[in-house]
Amino acid sequence: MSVSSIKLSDLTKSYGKQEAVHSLNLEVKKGELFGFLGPNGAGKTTTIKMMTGLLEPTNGSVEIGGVNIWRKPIKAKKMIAYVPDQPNLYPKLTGWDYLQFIASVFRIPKDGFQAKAKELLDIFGLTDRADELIESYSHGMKQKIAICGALIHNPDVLFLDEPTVGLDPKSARTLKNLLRKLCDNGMTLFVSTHILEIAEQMCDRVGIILDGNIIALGTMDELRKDEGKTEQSLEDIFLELTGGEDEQALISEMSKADQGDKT
Amino acid sequence: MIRVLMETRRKILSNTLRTQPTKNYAGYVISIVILALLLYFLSKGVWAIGDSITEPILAGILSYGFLMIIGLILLLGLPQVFKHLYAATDLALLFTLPIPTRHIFWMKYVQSFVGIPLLCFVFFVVPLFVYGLLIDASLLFYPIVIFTLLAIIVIGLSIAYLLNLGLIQLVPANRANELMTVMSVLSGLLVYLMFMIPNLTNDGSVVEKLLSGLPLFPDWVPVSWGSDALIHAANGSMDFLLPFVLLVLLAIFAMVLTSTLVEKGFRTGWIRLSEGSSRRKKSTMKKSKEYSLHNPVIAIGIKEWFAIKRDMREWLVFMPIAFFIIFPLIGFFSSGAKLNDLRDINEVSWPIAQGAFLFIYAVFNGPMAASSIAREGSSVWILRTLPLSGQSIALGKLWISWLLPFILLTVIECIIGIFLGWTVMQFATGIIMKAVITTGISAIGLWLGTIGAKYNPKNPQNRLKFGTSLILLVLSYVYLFLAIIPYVLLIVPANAVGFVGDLSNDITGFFGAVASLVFTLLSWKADAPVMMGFVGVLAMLIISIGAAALFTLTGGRKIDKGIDIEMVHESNVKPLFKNRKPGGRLY
Repeated sequence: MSVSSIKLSDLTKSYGKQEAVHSLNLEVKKGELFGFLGPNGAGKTTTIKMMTGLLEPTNGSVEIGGVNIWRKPIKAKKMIAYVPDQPNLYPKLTGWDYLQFIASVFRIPKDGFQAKAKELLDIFGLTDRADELIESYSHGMKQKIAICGALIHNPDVLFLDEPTVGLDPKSARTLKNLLRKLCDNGMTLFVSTHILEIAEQMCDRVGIILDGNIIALGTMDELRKDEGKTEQSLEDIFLELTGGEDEQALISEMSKADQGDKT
Repeated sequence: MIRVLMETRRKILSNTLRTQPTKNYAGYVISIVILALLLYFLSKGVWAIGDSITEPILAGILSYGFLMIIGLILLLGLPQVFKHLYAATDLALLFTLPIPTRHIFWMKYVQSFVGIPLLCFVFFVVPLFVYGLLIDASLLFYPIVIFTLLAIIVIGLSIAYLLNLGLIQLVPANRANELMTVMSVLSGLLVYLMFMIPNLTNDGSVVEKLLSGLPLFPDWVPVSWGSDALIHAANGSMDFLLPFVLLVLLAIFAMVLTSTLVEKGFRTGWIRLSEGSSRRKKSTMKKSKEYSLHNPVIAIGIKEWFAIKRDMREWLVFMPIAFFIIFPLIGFFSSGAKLNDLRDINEVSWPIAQGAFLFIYAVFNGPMAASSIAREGSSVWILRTLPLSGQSIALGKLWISWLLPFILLTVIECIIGIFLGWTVMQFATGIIMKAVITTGISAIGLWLGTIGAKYNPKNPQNRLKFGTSLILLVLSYVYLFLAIIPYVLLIVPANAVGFVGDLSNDITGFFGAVASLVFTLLSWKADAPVMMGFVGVLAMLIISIGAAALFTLTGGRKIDKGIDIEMVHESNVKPLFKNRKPGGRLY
């Protein structure tokens, strides 16, 4: 039996009496592109932070390729890469310096590094700016260099928190295509996103989290089947599950009223 | 429009005060009580000695006091004014509204009175009123005190504004972050020079001149106008009018001059600074360069080096060198002494220099290493998600924060040594000994950095919590005390035993204990020089390498367990990092 790339067992995070994440159980297979959805404050980032070793779980465990990230952090972290939603990188390093630093930490062979770094910088259109300090980069550029840093060592598992926020349409498309290609080549991707269209188009499976609980899990077809509406989009399913349909109806009403005023 | 702006400012202030956590209220109460006590004792002192102060002495005190007000406003107010003018978050909104720039400027100007100027005002007006009551001064005295102080404060604030508005035209916009540091350094230098004025114009010390009632400043200096006005007003003489009017006119002139620069310096300056962060900054690295990879420990050190090298503010940590080495040297040469006086007595100059350098390392290496932890700031997540052990991170940060001061101070030591004619053996012994000994203090600093890290993007020099920095100071001196053992056994010549013996008999307290320890060690060294040489090397290794290993290990473990970096965000100023979390964890 093959080992799951990511395995969450009863993963819980509490802040005092308040539980941000309740006993999550989840497995993501190798080469799978998993979309992690949920409204603001649902527990997405907290879960990702526990999976990447940034937050210690109150209970339960996270295994990366069968290695518990809190028991054997170094071994587990050799297999992962993480791109946060706010890429606060070292402002006084250049793009190249940053990639060199990451490559040094992962002890990548020098020749391989140079070629890989050039390829990644080229893909994301950063080649001409790679010798500039990161502090002069825009949000999108920081996001891109963070993604380059994450991919430079070819991780087994890549965690991305809102990866397309701040990216221009071309870069977002490039990233989507690249992510799909990486998954097809065996990399496991765990992507948290608000953009349901991305999840619908790209992800092999989707998990929806609300108030720290996974309330839906499966492929798009499975989710539609569960909801009993085969024609529904992921947006409809998401809003129905997370209670956002009332707000949506209100917005539609307001929009109609607005149009009525104009005519 | 100014009224609307001021009213909004008042609401912000009252809402800020209302929504403070309870502990802050306690802080305010304690601060007010302390200030009230200080004011009480100051006034009591004035009441006690006021009668014995003659008019010439009072004139000197007042002149120097007014200079002090201007100095304080410049020293502490210059960076504050910079924040009001260019870093306040409300400016982006205000500049998009149909409000004349001049109105926004005056709102900021009035706002600047709250803080150091207000404190100066209170601390001068109360004792002066007490003095007035004591000497039964004319009623004229009291309003003149208030207006004179206001005029002095306006002059000080206007200089602070003028410097800010002027400098913004000169400093390149892409150095915006460093500008605050330049302001702080500049204000320090200005104030230093300002207080040097009486020294330059007088031969004796300021205190002597002051007490003998001789004028500290010429009559044409504005601070003299202020003191003249007050003294005449206290006597009920109308002679106060001329100096008083001159002072008020100068204050008005300063305000008008400041306002002429508003359009150019304020709005366009703010725009320049806002654009600054997005300007391209090329590193010196050439594109054709082969990019080399390193061991992770070395890579961490190199990353730290880039962060230090590329941020002017980081270099402020080396400022104490100026105080410890350069200023004493200037003082030595300006006193008429000659270099030849120090040459050829290297058996005396070398051990003294080694002791002095050890002291500098002790106060220098600790903070340098400690600040490397909080330097991670908002980027803490990077090290956290990388496959690096706490030990590797600690070692990576240790080697660079030890090496940088070592290189810098060794270069200075070599220059001094060449001038003083030290022997090659002396150079080698001193440098090697200090290289080994200083690893310990760096490791102690690093460990304390893992305990009390604090990060303020606006003030990157201040990277330790207050309590932790006090512990570091104490530990630095404890370490220095222990380092005396190998220093004495390896560096100080045994024939100094007689001199030290006399010294230990004359001094008591901590320094007496130090002298006694040195005397005991030297007498052992005189009895068995070879044996004590070995003991010295052993002591050096135990103290330095032992401390370095112990504290690096402890620091590494702390990193593994988790480090909280307290993220300081000053209100009403632009965050340099968009992610405004209350704190960050390294591990």
